[in-house]
Amino acid sequence: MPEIFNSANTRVSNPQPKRRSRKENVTEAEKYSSILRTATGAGNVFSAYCPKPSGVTFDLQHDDEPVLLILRQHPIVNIPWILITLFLSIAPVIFLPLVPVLQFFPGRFGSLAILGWYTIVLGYALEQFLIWFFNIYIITDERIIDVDFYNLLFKKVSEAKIENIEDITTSNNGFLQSIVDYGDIRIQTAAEIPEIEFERVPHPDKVQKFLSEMIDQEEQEKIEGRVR
Amino acid sequence: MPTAVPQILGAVFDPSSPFLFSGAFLLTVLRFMFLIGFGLYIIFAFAVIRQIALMTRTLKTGANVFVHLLGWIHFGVAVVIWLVAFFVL
Repeated sequence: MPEIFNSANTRVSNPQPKRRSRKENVTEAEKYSSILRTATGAGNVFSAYCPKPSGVTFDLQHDDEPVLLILRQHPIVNIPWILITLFLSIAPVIFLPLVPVLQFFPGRFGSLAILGWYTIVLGYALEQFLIWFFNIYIITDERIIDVDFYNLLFKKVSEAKIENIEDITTSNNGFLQSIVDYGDIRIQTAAEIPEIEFERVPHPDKVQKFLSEMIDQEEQEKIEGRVR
Repeated sequence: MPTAVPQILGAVFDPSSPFLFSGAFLLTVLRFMFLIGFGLYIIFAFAVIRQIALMTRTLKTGANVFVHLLGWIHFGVAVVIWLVAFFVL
């Protein structure tokens, strides 16, 4: 039998491309993204615009997938609930002397009612903070992910691959959004979820430019046959 | 507190009981309402802790310890208030 048909002696070498680490992928992304190059590494995890966040991971993350940008709603959207919390905090001081409903009961009932009131206010503020803090938009070098926690019981995660993005529209609606520089970004995709919306995020123009750079790079990789 | 239970039951099953029309009856009912209300709040505070656990599993950041701490402080306050209501009222 010719040697060529003897598979036992034949070693087929099929070298797998070396997988880069997350850090190497961030460095690679910096090469093609001017937004990432000019951004400093964000150490503040409470920031609403957080490029190259250090020490941030998410549960659906792939091994070599770096988080390039994390977005939350602009901190200014927290003002209404902060004002409500402040109002609720001073409400007993203002209204109890005017409407002395607790005077009908012994003092200990009144004190506990006020304590209970402040606990509820604390719970309200905590809940609002959690909803703001964990409603995030993540951009990696492969996909965009929208994590929504609407209340205590409802969580929704939407994602789309960068290569499936078809159209990006940003909008600053109104005086405040233009002055403070925050707005909405609507991302149309060819994926199962036709649209992902980043609501009231800071620097929408920068984010749009960053996404455009990502799409360009993805197309370049496709042409060169380097798609992961 | 345990002595109040027979008094309330007695008043409910005997409408002619003088206890039913006394301020003590109202305060006893109020005491139960406080305890039930604060008890429900403890359940809510526990749900918040579970929610924080779910949220921090979804996104891991350096602030997760701080967020967990906030949840446990909230839960602790809810438990302390229930205990205060139980012993003081």
